[in-house]
Amino acid sequence: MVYTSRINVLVKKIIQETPLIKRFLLSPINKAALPSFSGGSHITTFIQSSGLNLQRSYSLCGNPSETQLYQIAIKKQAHSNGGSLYWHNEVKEGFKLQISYPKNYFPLSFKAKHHVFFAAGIGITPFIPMMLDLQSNGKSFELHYAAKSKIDCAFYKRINVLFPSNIYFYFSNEGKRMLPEIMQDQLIGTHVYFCGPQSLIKQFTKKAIDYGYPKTSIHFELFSSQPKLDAKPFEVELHKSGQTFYIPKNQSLLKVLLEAGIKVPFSCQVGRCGTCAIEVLSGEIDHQDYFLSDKEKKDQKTILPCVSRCKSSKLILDY
Amino acid sequence: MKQLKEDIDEFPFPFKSNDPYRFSNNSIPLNPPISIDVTSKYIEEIKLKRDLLKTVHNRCYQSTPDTYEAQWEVLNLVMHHLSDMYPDRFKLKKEKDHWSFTNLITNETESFIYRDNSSLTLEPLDVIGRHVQEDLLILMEKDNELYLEAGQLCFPGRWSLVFKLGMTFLEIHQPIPEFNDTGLGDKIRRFLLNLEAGNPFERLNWALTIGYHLDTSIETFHKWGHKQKEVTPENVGSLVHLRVERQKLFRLPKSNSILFNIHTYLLSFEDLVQNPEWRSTFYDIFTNLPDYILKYKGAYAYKDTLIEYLKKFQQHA
Amino acid sequence: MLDMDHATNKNFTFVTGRRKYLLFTDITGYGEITPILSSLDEQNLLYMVYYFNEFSSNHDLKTYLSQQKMGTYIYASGNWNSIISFVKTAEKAGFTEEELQIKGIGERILRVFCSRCYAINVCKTSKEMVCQSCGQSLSVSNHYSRRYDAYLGYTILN
Repeated sequence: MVYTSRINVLVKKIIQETPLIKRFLLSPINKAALPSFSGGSHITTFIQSSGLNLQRSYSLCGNPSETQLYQIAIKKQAHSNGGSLYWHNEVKEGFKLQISYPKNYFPLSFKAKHHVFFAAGIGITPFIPMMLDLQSNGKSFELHYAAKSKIDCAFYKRINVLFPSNIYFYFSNEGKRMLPEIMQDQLIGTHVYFCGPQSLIKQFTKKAIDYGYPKTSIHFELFSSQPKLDAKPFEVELHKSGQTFYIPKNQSLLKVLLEAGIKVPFSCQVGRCGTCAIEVLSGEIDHQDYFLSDKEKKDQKTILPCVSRCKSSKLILDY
Repeated sequence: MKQLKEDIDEFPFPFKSNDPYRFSNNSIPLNPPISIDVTSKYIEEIKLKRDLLKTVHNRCYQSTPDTYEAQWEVLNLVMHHLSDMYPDRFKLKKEKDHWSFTNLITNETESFIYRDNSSLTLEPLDVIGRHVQEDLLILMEKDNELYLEAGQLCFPGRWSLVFKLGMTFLEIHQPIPEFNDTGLGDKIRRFLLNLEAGNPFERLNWALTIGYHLDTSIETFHKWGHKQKEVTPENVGSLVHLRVERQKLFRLPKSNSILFNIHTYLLSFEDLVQNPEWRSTFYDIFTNLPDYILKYKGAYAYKDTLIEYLKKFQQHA
Repeated sequence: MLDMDHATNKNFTFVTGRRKYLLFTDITGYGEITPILSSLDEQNLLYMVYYFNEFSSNHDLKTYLSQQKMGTYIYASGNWNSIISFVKTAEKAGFTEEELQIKGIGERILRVFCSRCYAINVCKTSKEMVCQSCGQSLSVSNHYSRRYDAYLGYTILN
């Protein structure tokens, strides 16, 4: 048997969950079982076909103990850079691809007395296995889930069946809004989890801190790396080779380097794992990651090129 | 003890260049990604392990109730690795959840129901550890921190599993000089927190030790500790050994914990000096070590005697 | 279990940004909380002060603490026995290191874990001692375990 860091799977079934969300069921090829995982895990999917090289991460949304099938749900994004469109338009049942092992950068707290989940739209995905894990361990939790409407609410029925109590839906077409005030009267020992667009995570995190939640009781998963709204282009020089690159405002430094054939090791692409860290010799870094410590950010010596940018006009990298 | 040629061939010499040695995160991707190495010392070391587990079980085996899921994952991983990599020595048969693992070297079969604790007489980690030369430790990830929560440890390099159980990664390494103050500890801690399933790592760690003894527990230090004072110019080559631990790190995806395993190798200096490259690399590194590292590595007491011994060979070379 | 090793010599630091503060003390510990009280008054923050003995049992204390909302912060100072028992109860109620500061008053009993026989010896501050259980001479290190609330005593060779 050959041990590799990727798993070959095929798309066994595709289910249209909502007008914009499809659920994909993946089953192993040449392998008896998939590894079981912990709630909050995601996989990276690798698609290589006709010059295309797509590498995208999606939360696992099925049962963590199920080893014959992995489930991911993908929303068709209007402004997608190709990932969701390809999955929606090109991927059919029987399609073969490679995936990573499950990785978890959004694990449940062990010390929480009560877990409160806040999901917006497709952000619901990691919470389903997390709640299944809690349920099987007899732990206390509640879910708040906002969507445009019942029709646009992925897993509406499944959630109602799986979790009979402490589930709250907020459909904006019915005039209901999911508000951060829900956090205000939670008892000591509560941990909160946010998943959805960056604006929601920022708003809820700020409110939680205002209410006096310690940072360690606040957890969130960035759904995908979204280009910074006010990003500006900059220049990069590689100290060792002397090569220079222009980083346009809508592309990450990592992407530019990879496309130039520079083999920077990378993994999560959302500034979480620290794999792609590069030493910086000069230039002012605009840190956008969630990995480096406050001190490291202040020191201005390391950049995570997957998300971080440049405040001055040029960075010189020790590469 | 004079060693066989194959022992020397199997020995993972830990120094790669003449770079001065300092504490660092010297982990590299593990390739091939296999948790276990079965060496020519298998039968001897398994016997030693089982004897220790029989006589001082509490010293060699510790676990907290939270670790059952992780223990089953370790058993699963190791049984698959053994039967896949050494099919003539280990067999694994699975019929749904009914597993049967056969060790053809010791002629034993373990039959059990996977993830059913009551189907085994010992805990899963204690079962699988008896079939490998490696010591097996489980670090649980909880709230962005890593805790040592279970281990089968028969060949410790001067530490106590009983005392360290339940400690965080940084607490475990508190005795290493300059480890936590310099920020190195925190860097390695974050490296471990980012360890992903499917991408295991390994590193080599080393120390010096007296005699061919794998079990250097602090619990028995009163029995073996005085030996370091018995090193003389005449016996240094046969008495002093380079102790190398090949440490491997695997993320276990179901429990989100980490398997940390240690395979310990020993080589006497009279055997080590037979390899001119090893001898000269070690000499360069050893003579440039600051005292705080020498003390931590257990070599301070007989440093000069060992240097004189190595020098003799350097001059002949 | 909270790290008593690090809690031993630290003075209180004033933590802002919480909605409610609970201060627990006794006669010996009251002096430690007065600077915190003045900071809370200055900033016009909500707080309550309790003596440890106002709660008739740990169960009553736990019930009270469990009913607190997120955003509550605790300062506790007093003799070591009260502090250790208080911390255990507060942790059971859901308070974490980030929501709690403690300050023990007086000399703390040093606990030393014998590396030879695992007995935990209780002694006054010292660098060397003899294990009361196995008679081994021990050198007391600063290697600390929260699980045992004890420091490791290494074997001294004769």
